[in-house]
Parts: sequence; structure tokens; C-alpha cells
Amino acid sequence: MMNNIYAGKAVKILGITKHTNMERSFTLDAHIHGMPGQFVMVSLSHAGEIPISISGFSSTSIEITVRNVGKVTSKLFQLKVGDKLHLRGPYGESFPLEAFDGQHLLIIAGGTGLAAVKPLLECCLDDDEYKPKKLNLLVGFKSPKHLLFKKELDHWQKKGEVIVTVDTTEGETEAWAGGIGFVVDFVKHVGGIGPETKVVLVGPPLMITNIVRELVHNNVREENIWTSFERHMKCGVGKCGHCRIRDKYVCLDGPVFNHVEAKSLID
Amino acid sequence: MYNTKTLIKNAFRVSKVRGESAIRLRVPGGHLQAKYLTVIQELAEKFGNGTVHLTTRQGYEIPGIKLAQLEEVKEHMAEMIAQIESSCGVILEEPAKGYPSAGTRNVSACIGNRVCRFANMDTSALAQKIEQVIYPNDYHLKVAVTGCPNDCIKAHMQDIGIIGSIVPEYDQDRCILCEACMDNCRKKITNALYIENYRMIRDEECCLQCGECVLKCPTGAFSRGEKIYRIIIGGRTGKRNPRLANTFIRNVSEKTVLEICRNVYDFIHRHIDRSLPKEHLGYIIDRTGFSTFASEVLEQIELSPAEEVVELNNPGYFYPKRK
Amino acid sequence: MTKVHKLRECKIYKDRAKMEGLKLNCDKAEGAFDRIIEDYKVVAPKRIAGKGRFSDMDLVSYDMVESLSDIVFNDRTYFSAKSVFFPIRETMFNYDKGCVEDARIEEKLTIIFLRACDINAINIFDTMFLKNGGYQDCYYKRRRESVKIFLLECPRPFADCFCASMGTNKTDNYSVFIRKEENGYAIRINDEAFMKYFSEGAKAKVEPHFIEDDLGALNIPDSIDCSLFRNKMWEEYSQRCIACGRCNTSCPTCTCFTVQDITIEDNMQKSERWRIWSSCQVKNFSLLAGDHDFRILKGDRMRYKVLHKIIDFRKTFGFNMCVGCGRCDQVCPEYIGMAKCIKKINEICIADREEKL
Repeated sequence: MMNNIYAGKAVKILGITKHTNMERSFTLDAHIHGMPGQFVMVSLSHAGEIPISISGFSSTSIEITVRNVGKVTSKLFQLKVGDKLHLRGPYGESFPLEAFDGQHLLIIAGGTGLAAVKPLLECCLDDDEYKPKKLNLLVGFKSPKHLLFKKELDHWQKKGEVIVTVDTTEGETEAWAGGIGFVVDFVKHVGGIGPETKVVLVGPPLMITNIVRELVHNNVREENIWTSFERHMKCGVGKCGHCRIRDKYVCLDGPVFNHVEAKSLID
Repeated sequence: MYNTKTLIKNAFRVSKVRGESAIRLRVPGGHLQAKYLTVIQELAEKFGNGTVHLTTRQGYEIPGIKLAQLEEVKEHMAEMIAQIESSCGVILEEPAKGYPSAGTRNVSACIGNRVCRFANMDTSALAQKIEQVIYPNDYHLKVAVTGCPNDCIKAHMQDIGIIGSIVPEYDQDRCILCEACMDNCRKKITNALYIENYRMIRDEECCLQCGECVLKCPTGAFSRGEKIYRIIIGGRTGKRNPRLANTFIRNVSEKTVLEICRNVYDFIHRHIDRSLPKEHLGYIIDRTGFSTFASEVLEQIELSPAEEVVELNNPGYFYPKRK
Repeated sequence: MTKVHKLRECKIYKDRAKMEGLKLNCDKAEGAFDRIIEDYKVVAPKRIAGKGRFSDMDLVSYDMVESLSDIVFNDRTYFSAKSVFFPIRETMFNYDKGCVEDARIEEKLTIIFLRACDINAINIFDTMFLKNGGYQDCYYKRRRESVKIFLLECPRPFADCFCASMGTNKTDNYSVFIRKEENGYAIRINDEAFMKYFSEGAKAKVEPHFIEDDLGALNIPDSIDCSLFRNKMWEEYSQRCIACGRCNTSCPTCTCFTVQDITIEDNMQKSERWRIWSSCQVKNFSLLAGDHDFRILKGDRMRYKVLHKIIDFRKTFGFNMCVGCGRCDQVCPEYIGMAKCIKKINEICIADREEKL
């Protein structure tokens, strides 16, 4: 058998966590030594293959978090614990962890974007290698019923400063203790933002544009902002061409780019 | 003094101006060697009023000709009409006497594939072959050839219309699923294309064989297959019961087209209402019934399995008529 | 002018003085060709009657040939030869009841007749599929390794081509060069492996002719300013382009593909994963889940393509992607010209520089 970069390995589903009707996390029996920010290509025969960011690592498994929006994800949602899927990776560059060591780190995520920064949070809060001196998490969801990783959010609340916001509480019966409104409006509620604050920003393109503007307005230097790019990736290894922006491939050089570079990456 | 019947038979018109006429020159297939324009100019300036009218059937009509000069006019145009007709394979026995008949009108054609990107055939060439089969003939018959179902020549308003088509050939291995063919067919044509398991399927019942999928395809996955024709019949304008023509036979070969054009005259000869000055083919078919028409016209023609006959079932448009 | 990167694919004949070339009459050349096609599949420019896009037009394109007389020596092909080593649709995996198997291919060696620009275009494919990101694409590799190149010369430039401007007008990366002459063929053998097929013929000095000057020479800007992205020049393309993708599918250096899983009919247990050519000009290329498309304007798509071909690719690999074959100009139904676009970009860059000074 030839050395095939597109060939995945069959891995077993060890556990499934249902966050919402649309979002689930799958724990996979995969020994992947990845870094926070990297992604894997997940493949199901008859359906296809998609990139999914890794939302958690352990020594024996990884976790991926999926929003059910397409052909592959809907088939993935039909799988049970013990079923197998094909996996290859990890791919892409990780977050620049060294740059956060001893610094004030602000992580901002929108919706499923939280899954992509979860390993970074875990790494910063639970590991000792890279320790920001102060960590803020600002995360926004559509409404309280769209919340992901509730347990983890509680855990992080105890260790860092966390603001959870929702766009709206309309139609909710239970009281909501967090913020209401767009994430961008809560940037000013984060304490201690300054030129040297390091910011990681993961979410939909429009949210990123608006928040970068707000951060710059709050004197955060552009080279201290990292944003993630979501692109149509078909191969994950710089061949299919879909995720290319100018001379960069989101799958190889991203998905996280420093804003100074990201600015010049015009589609 | 002048026999109007003879004038008309020889393609001269009886003008509203007493003592004047106009000559109608045939241009089979609507395509002409430019050198004949000099002759047409001479005719108009020497014998007519210096103007030329482009007819609805793609001929030239030179008005203002004095009936007194008719013989000179015939002499002046003899060589030209003989040459034009002989280029279609029609031999005029006595060109100096003018056209031998005018009932069967000039066979007109759209620009066709000599220029047009949509055209599936050389319409002028086929029109000229048809001219050879049906001219001269006194029975009134209008035939037009169009290069694709856009029908720019309005073949749907003729007794017989020929629509040039192709069978699109699809090579799945070349298809990149850009959907350009499918989107175009849905928006502009008959929505005959759809995707099944990453392969384009062509619904042959709906496909007009217009060839637009070939035009749209960036990889040549759809390419030109066999050239075929669709014959439509029974179209007409007029005061009684205008009607657009209907499909008569699909998927026919050029040979069948020519045979049917020839056979139509036998059918007309047998069934025409001779009490009228002229009768359109469609009215004759209405009277005899479609099956009589089909069986007589197709007699001794061996249709291939692909050549599919369709019943004429279009009543056309009626003006309100006093009871 | 950028340096053209060369990937050597044949053993250059060692004793050049001994064997410079030979001339064969038609019969003898066909005889040699007959021996070659016993060992190789030969793909060359061919006239395919009636297969042009428009009625009663032929298609000159790459296809299997069985005789030298089938080869069209003096016409540019509508499509490039890239489908030989990068099929339009290619099976990557076969799935059967949960088992995966790599797709197999026919292993026969293939000869492709190519012009200098198209030979240089293969460097772009090699770079993308064997180097980019440090990953090697095995499907490409195994097909590429079975390819031998025969050179076709260009006595004159074709309309709209600009290989000399792109530095892709010359090459010595070929096994055999064949020129059609009035009464036979002139042949130059660069690769020892092909010596055995040419046992007959008179020795002669045979040198391929390469284009030295383009009909319209172009200057390629070294770099561009980001302001070019917002320049008004792209608006014209939004109006004119119809997003048909012919420029991509005919291009010898467009490598993009998409991946699809298909179910094999009659057996729901079986499926295949295919890769299929993809075009950055066509809808859906830049579409994300949730219907977000970040390159909707055709002018933006044009910019994305053109700048990749002349700037962005070079930034990483040191040489231009566009080889100036002129096919995209020739196949565009809207008469949009790559050369014209490069010219405009260059003019804008010059104006920018002058303004800054």
C-alpha cells in the first residue's frame, strides 16, 4: 500500500455529549499528539470528509465538537458509541502558546468557536508549561439554550474571569444571569485591556471584523490579535486549493493567523 | 393586355399602381453571393423606382417596374436567377421567361451555423437542398429552416418548419458538476437536466436537443452527437385561424426531411380545396385528419426507431366570428 | 523575469556529440512509432472531428494517438494535457462494508507530446502535488512517474500566447523531440531509453526551435500593493465575466479539486470517494456551510485567479504559475484576456510607484 496522505485511520467513538439539538461532542479513541488550534479531517463513507477543530485532548483520546449543518455531520449524528469513523490529522498551525506565557490573554469566541479555543483554555488553566498571568474568556451564544460546554464554563469561571453573553433571552423561561447582547458590546467589560493584551478571536467572519475594530479602538496592538479563518477545506494538506488566500493556505498556515497577516489576506 | 394569372405565376406582383408590377427574387436559404447585389441594384435603378424591399421570406422585391418593360426585366435577370437556382440544383428550363412558378415560396433560413453559436446546422445549405426538392411548384407552401429551437426564422409560422437539433452526448468522466448546463436548462429551456449520484441525467422526454448544454460545458463533458431534425407542421398566419406549428416528427435524418417535403405535394394535390385561390397545408390536414396526412406523407418512408411521430393537436387562434 | 524551476524527468543522453539527431521518412518514422506504442500509451494533440463546441467545428485536443499522422503539430489544443496525470474525476478510495481500499490505476507508461510552456506547466503541478505543505499526493505521484515527455516545437507564437514573457518558452526537459517536416520527421533523442526505437534514419543536427519574442511582450510586476485589491479595474470583470470556468478547465496549471463521496448503484454497501476538478470562477468554490460565500463578485474571482498566477504562487515557490500558453484567452466566450489583465495590473503598479516617488 502506498503512503496515502488522504487515508484516514478508523477510530472508535468512545463517548457522545449532547450540548444542544444541533451540537454534539464526540470522544474518539485516537492517539493524536496535536496542539490547541489544530484540526482533523473526519470522514464517513457515502457522505464525505470535513475539517473539524479538535476541542479536547487527553493522553488516549481526542474530542471533536460538531454542528449539524451538512451531509457529513448529519451522518455523524446518526452514529452511536462504539461506531467507527475515519480520521486523519492533526493539521494546521497551533495557537502561539509561547506568546501568551506570562501575558494577559483574552479569548473571545462565538458559538461553536468555543470548541476551537477549548484546548487553549485547558492548556492555559490546567497545564503549567504556558501560563498567562491573567486569563479572560468572553464567549457569546445565540440564546441560553445554545450554550455549549456548560460544565467546563463553570469550571473555568472558578479559575479565570469569564463573561458569557447571549444575543437574546426571548422565549426563555429560566432566568439568565449572564450578559445580553452582541459579544462586541462586552469587550469594554473585560478588565485590564491594553496595548499588550493578547487576544485570540474565533467566530463568524462578521463578528471577527467588528470585534477587531473594537479591540483596536481599545488600544490593543494589531500584532497582539490572532483570528481564525473558516474556509472550505477539501483536503487539509494544501492540495485542493479551496482554502488558499493569496500565498497562504488556511489548512497549512492557519487556521489561526496573526491579525497583521490576516489583514493582507483578502479573499 | 396583361394576364395577371401569368404575372403572378412568374413571381411578378400586380401592383396597386395600374401598369406597374414588382418582381420577387428568390434567395433560397437567405444566403447570397454578394455579386448578385449589383444585378439587383441595376434592376431597381433601370426598371424600378430605385428602391429595393427586403421581403419577409428573405427575398428581394423590386417595386415600380413598368409592366411595359417586363420582357426587358426578365432578360436582365435571367442569368442571375438561373445561376442562383442552379447553385441549389434547380435547373430553370427557360430563365428568360422569368421564374416558372411562385406558389411554393422562397425557402427561408436563419443565419445558421455559418455564424451563429447556437445553431446546430447549416440552415442555408439545407434550405437550398429543400429548394431542389420542391421548386418549381405551383402549390402554395411555405418552408423555413431554423438552426435551433430558438426559431429565429419563425418556422412555427410556416406550413413546414425544420428545426436543427443535436443529440447531446454526456461523458461522466469529464463532468466537474459545475451545474452550468443544469442551471441554464432550468432557467432558459425545459429543465431537462438533473443530478443523480454526481452524474448529470438528461430527461429525453423533455430535452429539446437544442445543444445549449454543450455550449455551457467548460470541460466538454457534454459534446455534440448526431445531428438530427425536428419537423413541425401546420403553422400559418392569416385571417381565418392563425396557428403555431406543432411537432410532427422528432429525431429525423436529413434524408427523411427531404422525402417528407416532397411527399407533402402529393398530399396537397390529392386533398386541396380547389374552390379557393390557395389553401394552407394546415387547413387541408384539419379537413383530412392527422392520420390521413401522416400515413400519406410517410408512405414509403422507412422511419428509424428514433424517428418519432407526434399527433397534431393544436386548434390555433380563432377570431370572434359572427354566427 | 522570474527563474523557471526545472524538475528533471529523463536521463539526458550522455554522449551528445555521438547522437544529435536524425531524419526519417514517414514510413520509417511510423515504424519507430509503432514500436513505441507497443510499450507506451501515447497522448498528443489530435483533431477530433465535429467535437468542437460549435456546430461543424472540430476540437483540437489531447487524446490517444496510434500513428504520427494523427498528431496535430501546428495547432494549439483547446484543453491542456493535465487530465493525463490529473484526471477530471479520479477515484481515491473504494469503500465496501466499512473496508477502505485505495483506488488502483492502470500502470502503463504514457508519453505526452507537449510544447515548452506545457512542459514548464508540469513543474507547477509537481510543486503543488509533491511539495506544497511538505505533503506528497500519491495519486498524482504514481501517474506522474509513468509519464515521459516528447517535445513539440513552436515555429511561431500562437495568438495571445506570451511564454517568453513568463520565461517558459524554453525547456530541455524532454525525452524526444519530433518535428514534422515536408517528407518525414526530424528527431532528437535526449533520453537513452528511447534510442532503441530509432535504429534507422540519417544522422542530422536537429535542434528544436523555441519562441524568443512574444507577439505582445508583457512585464510582470515583482510585487503588488494591497490597494490593488480595491482597484476599480476589477469591476469591469464583474460585468463581463459569466463565471463559466473555461479559463480554469483549459489551464495547464490550475490544480484545484473538490472531493465527493458517491454511492455505487445496485449496491448500497459500496461507495467511492472521488476527487473532481474544481474552478475558482464557478459558483460554490468559495461557499461555506450556512451559505456564506466570501467571493461572490466575478471581478473578485478574476483577481483571485490572476494574482495567484502571477504573484501569490511566486511568493512561495519563486516562479510564476502562469506559463503564458494563452488558452484562457482563446477559450473565453466573453473575450476576457489574461494578457490584457496582466498589462493593466502592471500599469497600475507603475503608476503607484511613480506616485510614491
